[in-house]
Amino acid sequence: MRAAPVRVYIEGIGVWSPGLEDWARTSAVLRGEAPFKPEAVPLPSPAVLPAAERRRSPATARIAVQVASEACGHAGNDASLLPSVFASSHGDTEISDYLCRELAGNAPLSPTKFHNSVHNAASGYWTIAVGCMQSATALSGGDESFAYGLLEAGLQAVGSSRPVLLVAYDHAAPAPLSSVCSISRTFGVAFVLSPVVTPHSIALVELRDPDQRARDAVMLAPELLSLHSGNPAARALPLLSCLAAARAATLSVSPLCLEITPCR
Amino acid sequence: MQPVNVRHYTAVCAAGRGRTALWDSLATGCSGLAPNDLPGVSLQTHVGRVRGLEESPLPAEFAEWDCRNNRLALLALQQDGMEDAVIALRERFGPRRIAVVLGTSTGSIGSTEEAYRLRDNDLELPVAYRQPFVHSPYSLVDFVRRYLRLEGPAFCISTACSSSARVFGSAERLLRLGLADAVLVGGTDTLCQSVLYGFNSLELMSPEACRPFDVARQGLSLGEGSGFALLERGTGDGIVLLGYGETSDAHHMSSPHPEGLGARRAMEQALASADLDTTAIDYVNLHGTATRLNDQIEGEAMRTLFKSPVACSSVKGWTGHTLGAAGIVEAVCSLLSMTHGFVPQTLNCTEVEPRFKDYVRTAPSRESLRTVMSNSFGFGGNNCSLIFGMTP
Repeated sequence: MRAAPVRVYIEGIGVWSPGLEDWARTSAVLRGEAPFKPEAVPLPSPAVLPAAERRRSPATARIAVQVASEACGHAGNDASLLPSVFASSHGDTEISDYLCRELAGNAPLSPTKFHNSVHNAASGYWTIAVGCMQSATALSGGDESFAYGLLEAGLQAVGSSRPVLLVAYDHAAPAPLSSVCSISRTFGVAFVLSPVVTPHSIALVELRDPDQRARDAVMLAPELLSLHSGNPAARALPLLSCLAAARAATLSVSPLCLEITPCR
Repeated sequence: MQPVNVRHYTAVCAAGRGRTALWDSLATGCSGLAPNDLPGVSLQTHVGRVRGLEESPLPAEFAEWDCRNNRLALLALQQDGMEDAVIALRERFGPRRIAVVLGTSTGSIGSTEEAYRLRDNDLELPVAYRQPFVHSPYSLVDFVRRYLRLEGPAFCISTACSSSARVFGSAERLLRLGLADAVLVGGTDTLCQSVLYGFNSLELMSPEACRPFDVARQGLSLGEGSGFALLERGTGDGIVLLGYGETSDAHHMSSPHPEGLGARRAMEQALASADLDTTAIDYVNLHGTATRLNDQIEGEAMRTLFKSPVACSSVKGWTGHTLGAAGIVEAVCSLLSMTHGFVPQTLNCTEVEPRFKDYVRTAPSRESLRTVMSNSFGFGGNNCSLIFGMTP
């Protein structure tokens, strides 16, 4: 049995990275209408996270919740009803660094930081923040985490005939972890994916068999190219670039081939 | 959903290497838990440790992936002909048509801990530990797919203690929508300092061997384990996955929903996807960690959902809590119970919580089991319930 392409409509988009603080800004940068200045900025403070949770939550959770909120807002979906897929290559490397550092120094561990160390911490904070009791998956596909997140979310959306939230994020690795982890930039992206077209639909994305050769390449400006290679979640940038320009394209996002058709 | 054939399965944990050894331990009440003797860990607790991993490096060509977690995964692949079963399907379907979906929670963080302990500066890890393919949550899947030369979709689910239960749901979707002809599912987690000291910081560890559902339970015992199952579309002549449920608590990062609502909904969803009602379930392998709260809420969820009592037990008195591997290890225990027609007792539970005494078994019994459920709940309020059955 061969696969029919998995077809999903992008209903809402969220982005956060230094210099790309939301989708409006990001799409302007990707269209070349605004400059990209990736300077250090404070972490986002998503309004849906109560103050106490915001203090307790790790950086990756704040980024993930920020982009998830933005995407759900655009899509007009009730966030509490959306199943979700969170994809990250390395999870929160600041928390991994903290745990290993404290253990090496024989220091006691903070119970909060310990429970924040699970790969599904960001999805946990999200479901708590929006009161969502639906399925929430957290996965890693290494450098291909974004594509695997898209695949899992697409299969869930098509398989259950309902919209699904996809969130992908990774955080720049601190030293000394940076000597074994090439993630040098921080980036988060979220999409609400629907199996059927709606008034909110931005584009149709078909997830195709990786056998099929991609036809188009997206030329990213050099500073965006270093973000693309410096963060597995930023492998979404060529797709985002097509969405920003409302451009049809067939792209390779390893290991998938994506066929993008704008809806408006 | 259409049932999914469980073509082959195996597991390794402190209670046994492979199905025969694990079954012997379950049938004879022989626990794998022992007083903690992990190097560098001074906590007074019991652990379910798999012996011999320290002396069993990966084959030289996989040195870049060599760590305790991947060694345990390889040990599990070598049990019960699992590796050969995968190779046979690879030859039948081709490597691109076999997916790999594995769960892990701690992954290979134990190696990262060691590297930090031995570092002599704060910029780089020691040369011997500069293994990018080890210090990543993807390490387990990356090793297994390369070792077995599989080229289909390959990703890791990491949702704490429900990780290797959720893999069954992802695999069912890959099969149903035609992205793979077979899926190798499973998971591996190994003991390391961050989980021992981490659970200790949360005051959830028992000083004695864990006693799930006992009135005097004092918390969990940690363990390590690995297991695999090979899934295909259709029904064979043995075991099938009948349904699964996946939910969130939306309550707290490390405490379950006080009424066990997320847990109950996971079981309800699993029943709905299998098109069964509670009377069809012959046995439930509980998450049963032996923490005060988990057993309380899981017991209440059972009482609310199963109006008439069903045979239940937790096997963590044998295995310890194998965290990200608990889903697959306990799925394998459930399948062994079903194929042998045997309800294991809740080992170390001598005086069961009075409210749950009609549910939680404290003595083993021989019973015909056609349909079994296995529960796994994790941090972040992440719940998964699986239902397996026998064909025809």
